Amino acid sequence: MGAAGIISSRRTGKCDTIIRLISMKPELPHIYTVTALTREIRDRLETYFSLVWVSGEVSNLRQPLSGHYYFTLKDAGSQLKAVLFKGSHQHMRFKPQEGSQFLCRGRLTVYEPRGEYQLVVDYLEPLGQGALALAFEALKTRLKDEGLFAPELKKPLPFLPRKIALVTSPTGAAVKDFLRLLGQRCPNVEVLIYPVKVQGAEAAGEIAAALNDLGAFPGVEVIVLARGGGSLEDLWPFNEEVVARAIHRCPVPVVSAVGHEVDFTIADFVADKRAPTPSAAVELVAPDKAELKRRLARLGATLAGALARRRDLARQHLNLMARQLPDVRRSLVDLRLKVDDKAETLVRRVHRSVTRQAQALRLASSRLFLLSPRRSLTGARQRLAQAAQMLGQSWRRRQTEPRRHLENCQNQLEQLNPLAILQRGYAVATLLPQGTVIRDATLVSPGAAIRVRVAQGRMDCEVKIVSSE
Amino acid sequence: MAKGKKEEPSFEAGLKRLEEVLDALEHGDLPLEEAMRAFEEGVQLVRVCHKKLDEVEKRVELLLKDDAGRFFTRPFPEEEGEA
Repeated sequence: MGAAGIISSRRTGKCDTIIRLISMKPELPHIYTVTALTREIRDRLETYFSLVWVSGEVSNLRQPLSGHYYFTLKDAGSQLKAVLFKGSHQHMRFKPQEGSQFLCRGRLTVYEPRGEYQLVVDYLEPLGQGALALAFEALKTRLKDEGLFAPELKKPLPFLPRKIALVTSPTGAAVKDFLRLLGQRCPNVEVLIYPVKVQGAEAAGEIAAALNDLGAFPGVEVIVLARGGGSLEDLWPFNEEVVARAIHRCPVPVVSAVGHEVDFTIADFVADKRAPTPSAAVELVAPDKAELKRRLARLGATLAGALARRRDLARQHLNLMARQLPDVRRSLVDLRLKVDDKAETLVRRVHRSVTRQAQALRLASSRLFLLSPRRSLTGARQRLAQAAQMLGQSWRRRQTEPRRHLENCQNQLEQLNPLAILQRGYAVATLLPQGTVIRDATLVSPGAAIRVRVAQGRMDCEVKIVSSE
Repeated sequence: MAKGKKEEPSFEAGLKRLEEVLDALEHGDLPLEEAMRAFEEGVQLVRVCHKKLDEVEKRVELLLKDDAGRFFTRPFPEEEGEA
């Protein structure tokens, strides 16, 4: 190492000289002042250890009023003073914890007045934090991609559950808080506590088993996973895959109430609802009974009021209608008079009508009587009798008629009988040989032969004299 | 998980119906008989809802499994009043 390597602007001219002297004349030792040496040490340390990572156990942790953290990082063989200034740590996620292993990043410096070297920490995290955080992120991404966090899968919580299951440590503070708050908010509910370990290697398996059992347990309407605050390691069981899958599979809605408000576990993402605090969990699973009772009372009162108003409205309406009704009594008298008047007219008219009708009836009656078939019947009967008589007469006549007629004809015939004529003395002369009857004598010549027929026999004669008379 | 008995609505449903009835009674033009009927229904609902809130008895139990894997319960000691 040459002189130039450790020259700094804070050197005094004297030191420069001395150093040059030392390098040039090895016999003379360099004599530092304490301050100078300390400063040099500081420079060297600051330069060489401007950025270091150190892990160790935090001890003697204190935080005076200034807000800075002062502690010692130690291991089996050695220790290192450390300081974490308020300005650095107030935005940091992790704070040093007494007795825990931590990983720190910082720079070395020397606090000159005391000649103490220390680590000025600008970042620290619990040891193993990094690995855990990575595992957390990896699992979170994987499960998210599988869709376990999907909002559509979140089941709604029952409004008024009869039975709540609590998966928690029976001896922890979380369970006490939860039960106390639940008793205040809604005492009419049954709580089933499924005891599990909530940290350590076996916890995840027990929690998953609890969820499996409760998912099928009769009557359980909602499950609450509860655990108080803690470090990432403490809460780690709730980041385990087996727990996440058990929550996902569970048919009953699951509320995750793990750790404090700032702690997010994978269980929180998979669960149907996350509660940042135990009281928030109570508010999620149970309604405020007192508030509900008040609300019911209000509704009941409003109901009664509404009905009363409705009734009044109806009554008003009725009164209004009633007032609009005309005075019935007055119109009653008018109506009576009217009715009487009309009645009288009615009677008169009816009477007149009846009389008219009676007359018409009588008229028609007599006409009818005249046309009565009885009369014509009598007449007809008479005619019939007459006709019958006549028929009888004519029948008899018909019977005797032909006979008489016949007799008449006979008589006539006898009278017309040529032979009768002959009987009376007449004779028929016929011309021989023809036989033609002689009516005109002039037609006959004297000497003609004639036959003369008398009543008895005939004479054949010869004509002598013919005359026209 | 059964909510309420066979024919009774759940508390939530009952409350919702109660508000519906009230709305109808206050703002609707219900004929008088219907208004009476709605009122009766409302009264009944209030009664049922009160009942549901008080129904379940407070009980806190520990759920345990025996060696055969069967479940049994034991009362969980609760502290009355916090220190």
